[in-house]
Amino acid sequence: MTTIEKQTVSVTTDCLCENEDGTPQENCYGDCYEWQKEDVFELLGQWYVLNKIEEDDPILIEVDKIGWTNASAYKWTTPMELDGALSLNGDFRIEWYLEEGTYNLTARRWSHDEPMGTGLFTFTAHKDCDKCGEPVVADIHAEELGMCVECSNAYFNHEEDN
Amino acid sequence: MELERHFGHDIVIARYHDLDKQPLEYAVECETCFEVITWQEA
Repeated sequence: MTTIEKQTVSVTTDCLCENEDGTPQENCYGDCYEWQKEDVFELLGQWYVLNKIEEDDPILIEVDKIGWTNASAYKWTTPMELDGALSLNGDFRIEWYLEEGTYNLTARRWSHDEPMGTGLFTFTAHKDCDKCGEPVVADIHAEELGMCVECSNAYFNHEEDN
Repeated sequence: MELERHFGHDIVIARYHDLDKQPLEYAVECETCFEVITWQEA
């Protein structure tokens, strides 16, 4: 059986502020949530560096089993908004996972409508095609010298010359 | 009998750790559908 290593961080709206010795603080004004978000920023920052993702690159989020209907869903975002892209207007917990070796980023969320957790959110980095501007999966963008497959085929078939 | 497949998919052992590389827990997961089959404390 294969073994994989995953780095994980989590944020929850139900957190408790703790002192350095682990005892609960008397007053908590949401600082613990902000501290957890720092961990998320660090993990996402690693993912951006490992995958050479720039701040305006489109990111496609996909998930099956979300909400009380267990629906499938997708959403476009960018690194500027990714940390809050899975947040809800209510209580929730989100765990983020970064897999070593493949550098795949995934996440799972728990909330009132998702007591057993959602399906796994996956994140696919895209780049804009240099010709038509449409988002194209980053790996394909690199293989096709900065273009989407359609523009690359048109370019190398000299269709533009006709 | 040891579980080796999950609805026809391969299963993997996932070892979770925090940002400081401290081990948190192990899970046996489906490699394809990512479903967690069992959890175990590290």
